[in-house]
Amino acid sequence: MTTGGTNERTAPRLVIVLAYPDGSLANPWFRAYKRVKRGVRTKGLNARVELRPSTDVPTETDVLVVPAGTNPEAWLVGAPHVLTSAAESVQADVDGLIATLLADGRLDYAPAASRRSAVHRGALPVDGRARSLDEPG
Amino acid sequence: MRGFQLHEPETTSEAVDLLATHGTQARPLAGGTDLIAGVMRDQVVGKGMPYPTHLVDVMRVRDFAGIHFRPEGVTIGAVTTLFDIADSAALAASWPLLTRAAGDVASPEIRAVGTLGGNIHQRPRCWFFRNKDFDCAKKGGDICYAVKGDNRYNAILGGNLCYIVHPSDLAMALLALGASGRVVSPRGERTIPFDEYFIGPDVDLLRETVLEPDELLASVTIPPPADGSRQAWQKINEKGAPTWDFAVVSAAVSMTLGDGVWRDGRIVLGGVAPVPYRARVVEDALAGRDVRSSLADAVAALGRVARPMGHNGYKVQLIEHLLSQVILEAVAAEPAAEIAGGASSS
Repeated sequence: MTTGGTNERTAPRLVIVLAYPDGSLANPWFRAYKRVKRGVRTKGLNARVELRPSTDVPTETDVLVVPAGTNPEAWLVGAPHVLTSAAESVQADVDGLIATLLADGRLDYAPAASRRSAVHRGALPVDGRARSLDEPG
Repeated sequence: MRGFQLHEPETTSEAVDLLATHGTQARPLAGGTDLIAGVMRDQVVGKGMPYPTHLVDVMRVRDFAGIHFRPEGVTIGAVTTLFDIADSAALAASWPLLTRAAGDVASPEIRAVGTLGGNIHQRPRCWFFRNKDFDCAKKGGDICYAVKGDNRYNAILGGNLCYIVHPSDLAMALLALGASGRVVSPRGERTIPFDEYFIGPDVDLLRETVLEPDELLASVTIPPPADGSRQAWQKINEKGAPTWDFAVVSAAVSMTLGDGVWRDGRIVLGGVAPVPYRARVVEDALAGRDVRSSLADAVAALGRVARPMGHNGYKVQLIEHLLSQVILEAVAAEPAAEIAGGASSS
């Protein structure tokens, strides 16, 4: 974990994993993952979204989302929340779960500092606003 | 290169049981010219593509060997080398498209070792996919780096979240010849027409074929050439002959004519799409028409469906030009011979 600077981050409170059968990642499921990840980022939630094969689901997973018709019990034992969802409805299903977790206080928003975008000009971080390289300081 | 365990089954059931036992940690091994000398040597791995720790050497499985001629077609075992295919006079007489394509693969050294099954199932050549530092979408990562990167060799047709091109010359030829694959697994066997064998990223990001992890291609069967079948094949690589390289673009044509009029046939393009691309738009434009006089308009149909990326627009003109040449070559070709029948090799 890094401290200081414009990119101070803390470990996310919630880990959401969309899992797929080992060796096969259906296009609609990949798209669903991208939508969920984008949604979490847009909402500024203190959560991390990952896409993993069934044989590589991290043990710290809090929410496991699996395609309809699969058996999540075979993939991970012990995830607090398991959702079985079709690709076209996974966004709504995850949104519903997130709303519940927010209401229960088990999920919060990312700290303001960590949600700030980092701006770089080339390899040089720029604090707060873009400046000409000719400016002092 | 990391270590692995080598298994040497001698029967089909042993081979497929090993694949079933070890899942995606296992890979079938034949000549190894792509799996060992490419994928494993270069650590082509990702979240969805683990490094294979079990290799199942299928070269000793008798069921996967040999070239067998029958009245209903020829069956070629998946472990038949490209050299044996290219060198077969009987195959060349009836399916010159296949032997030409096999003879154009890579170099003589690779053709001596590389196999039919391996060539069909080799992994893509996209340099982002092949580079261990890019966890691209095809390996289970988040993005396709070709979208904003140097995509000069990537797809101009059929890409969807991933823009690889299918690398197999033999896959093009076999699709053009209407071949089918016999696939075996612990659940038995099934026959899959090559029209249905390949899938693109619009279906599955991680796979290029419909095969499950515990399935193996045992053999390929090609039907007899249609009466009067004319076949042609060409590929263009970047540095030109006599360098031995993957195709920038390629074209395979198998057709029948009646007084110069297209009666039936297949046109398959390589180097342009994530699957061997059946150019139905050109076939439809030629159907029932005099081939020579309608060729330019038919080939131009490709330009209307192509979706080039930032750096590969040149492929559109290149494939149109190549396809015109190949079709004219096929028109002028001698009709393929009927199957001689009977003579088989193992």
